[in-house]
Amino acid sequence: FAGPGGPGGPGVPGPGRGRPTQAQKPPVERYFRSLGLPPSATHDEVRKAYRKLALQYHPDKNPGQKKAAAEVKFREVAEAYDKVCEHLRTK
Amino acid sequence: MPDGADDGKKSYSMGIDLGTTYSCVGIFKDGEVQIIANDQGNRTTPSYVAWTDKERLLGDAAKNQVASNPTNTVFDAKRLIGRTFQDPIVQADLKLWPFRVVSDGSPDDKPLIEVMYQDVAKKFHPEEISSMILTKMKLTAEAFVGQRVRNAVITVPAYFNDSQRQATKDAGEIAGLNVLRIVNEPTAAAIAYGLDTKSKEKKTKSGEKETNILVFDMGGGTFDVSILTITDTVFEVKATAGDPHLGGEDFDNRMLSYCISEFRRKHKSDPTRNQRAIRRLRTQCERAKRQLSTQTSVTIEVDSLHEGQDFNLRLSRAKFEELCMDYFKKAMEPVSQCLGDSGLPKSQISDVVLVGGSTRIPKVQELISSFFNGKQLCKEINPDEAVAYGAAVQAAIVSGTGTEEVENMLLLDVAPLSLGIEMAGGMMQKLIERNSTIPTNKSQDFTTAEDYQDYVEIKVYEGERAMVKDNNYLGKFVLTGIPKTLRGVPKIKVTFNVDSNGILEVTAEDMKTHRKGEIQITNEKGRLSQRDIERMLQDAEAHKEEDDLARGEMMARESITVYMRRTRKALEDIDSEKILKRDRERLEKKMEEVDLWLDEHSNKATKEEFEAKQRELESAMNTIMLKINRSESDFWEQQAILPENEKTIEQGGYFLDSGLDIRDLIEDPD
Repeated sequence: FAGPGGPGGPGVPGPGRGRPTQAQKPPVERYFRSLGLPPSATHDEVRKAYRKLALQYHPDKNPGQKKAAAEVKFREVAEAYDKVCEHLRTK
Repeated sequence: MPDGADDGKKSYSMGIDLGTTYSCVGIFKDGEVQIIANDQGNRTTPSYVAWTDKERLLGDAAKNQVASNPTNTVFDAKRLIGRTFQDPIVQADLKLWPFRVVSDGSPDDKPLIEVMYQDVAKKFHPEEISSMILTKMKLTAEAFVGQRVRNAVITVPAYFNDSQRQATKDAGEIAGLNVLRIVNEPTAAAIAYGLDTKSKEKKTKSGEKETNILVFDMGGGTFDVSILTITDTVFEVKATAGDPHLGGEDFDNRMLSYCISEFRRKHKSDPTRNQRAIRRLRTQCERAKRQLSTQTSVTIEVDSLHEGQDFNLRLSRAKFEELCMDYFKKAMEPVSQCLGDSGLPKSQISDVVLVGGSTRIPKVQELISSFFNGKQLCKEINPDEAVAYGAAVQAAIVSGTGTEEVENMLLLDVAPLSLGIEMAGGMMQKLIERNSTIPTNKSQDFTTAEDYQDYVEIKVYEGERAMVKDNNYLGKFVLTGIPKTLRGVPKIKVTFNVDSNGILEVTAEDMKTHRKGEIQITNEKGRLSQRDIERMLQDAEAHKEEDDLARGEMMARESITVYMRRTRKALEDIDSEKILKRDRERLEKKMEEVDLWLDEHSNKATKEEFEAKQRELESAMNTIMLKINRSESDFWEQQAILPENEKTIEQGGYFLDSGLDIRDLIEDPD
């Protein structure tokens, strides 16, 4: 490890030995819940649910004051969709 | 209120396809997209800017004079935008451009384009050149709707990186536009495809039917592949891949090199340093390339190309394909990568949509088709206009100025490249994976690596390689003021935020002190500062008056030239019996005189002088036409039967000798 970028150099490449301190992965059920689905949902149902929620929460569909809140929700939905799809692929 | 709406008045938002070689503008009006023709009647405008002794020229006017003014005619700004001068791609392109490109000499190493204007060397950033083209497109749209248009969606290649996107957005701002959104070109084309298919399938009642399509977009300078899933109203990009430096111009260059070597072989002399010769030859190569899409062989001919020697070469389609085959094959790599990323098998792609002029090349079509096991390709949509069409729809969606059908649509696009930061040992820690749906953000906690370290430096990169040195460096920032403690204790939260334009913003926060650092990444590397942009905006505004003047003159000059042409035609068409020989001669003499005057003055006359000249000509013409019409009316006179109680003009009534009621000629005041 290069350390603090050599003598007189800039600060240590901080995240150097970056330690993700994130808690262990949340169970996939949580992501299903974000999409409003039971863990038994099929790929088709997941895609449909995602599209419906995306239409509802995408910032483009929520102009003005609602935008910021909608965007947070949209990201949550998009992430859940990603994770659920991954789960279904590897299942 | 939707982003696009101004005051209460109905405002329009346009979609601009800012291409490497050609640009196109569309606007959503009266429930549909209109692709707008420019003042020359062309639906695409060359992305060219030129400076003559007297004025700045844009679009067709600039491209038309390129052979006589090669060093001051600028194109390909899209190949420079968002890159550094030392970028190997820029260094390679440099050798082919007739205009001069230099470094700005700053640590950012930005490229500058240098031209001579009124005997003074002027330098421009690529963003400024692009802004001039955007201005031209804006004027085209404004002429069409008859009012100011400020709101615009501008497209970029899907595979454009963060710096290139940001620089394109800056170009829009310099042009005085309100950039609603930066949209990926293949995504925009997919909208055009989606609306087109939908309108054809109206009867089959659109349900929740899913269609997967692959958009193959190869234009003049860039190449993209995107795979989308389209349902009723949702366009979801699954994956995207491409090459931001591959397109028709590369094929032109191959042909050009071949022609030069042929010329050398035949004539034992080298035209490489003769800019005018190279430009003329390049134009002919581009033309030949287009012809080879429909013909199997062409002749490239340029009279007196270099040192008085003519150039003449017969080129077959097979030879052209041989010259460019490595490029064509290279284009297939992103196709398989994109398919792999999408997780879809080939058989699930129901349509392969071709976009961009270079997809007209038969070999390109053949390779894609055989990649998909002989699949029929979709050529339904206009390859030159589809991107602007989709951009216009997206402009209507974002600004809320479309129809209900359009406003129900939703585009879910992705980030084309993974984004991350440098870790110990030069490793890349990805925070956002490529093909993540945007807008998106991801956070990760990091800590210090040394005891009592009170600041961290965060270096941001984009790319897919494991080591940051192989990826594209975007910028860095330093978070200071971390309380001194043992290593591993502080908690620093780094957040990557990619907005709907695909542009990245990074923040870092010390979770204990809540001290924050942030960068708009592109500020760090190559990007224009806000001050730069404002200065350029002012320059552009200042230029505008000059341009308006020049435009007035150009239009007046154009008007008189057109009038001359029409008069000549009319003179030819007139029956020789109807016009006196003397009159004909008089008119011809007048025209000759105007011709001479134009030769001498057309570069320095003012708008008023042009107009005065045209009036002279008109009055000469009118005198003669009056005579002709009178002799025509002589003919009608014999048959004219006046209604009862009506009198001719000479008798104090309203009727001409011909029996025509002059009241019919006067517009009703209502």
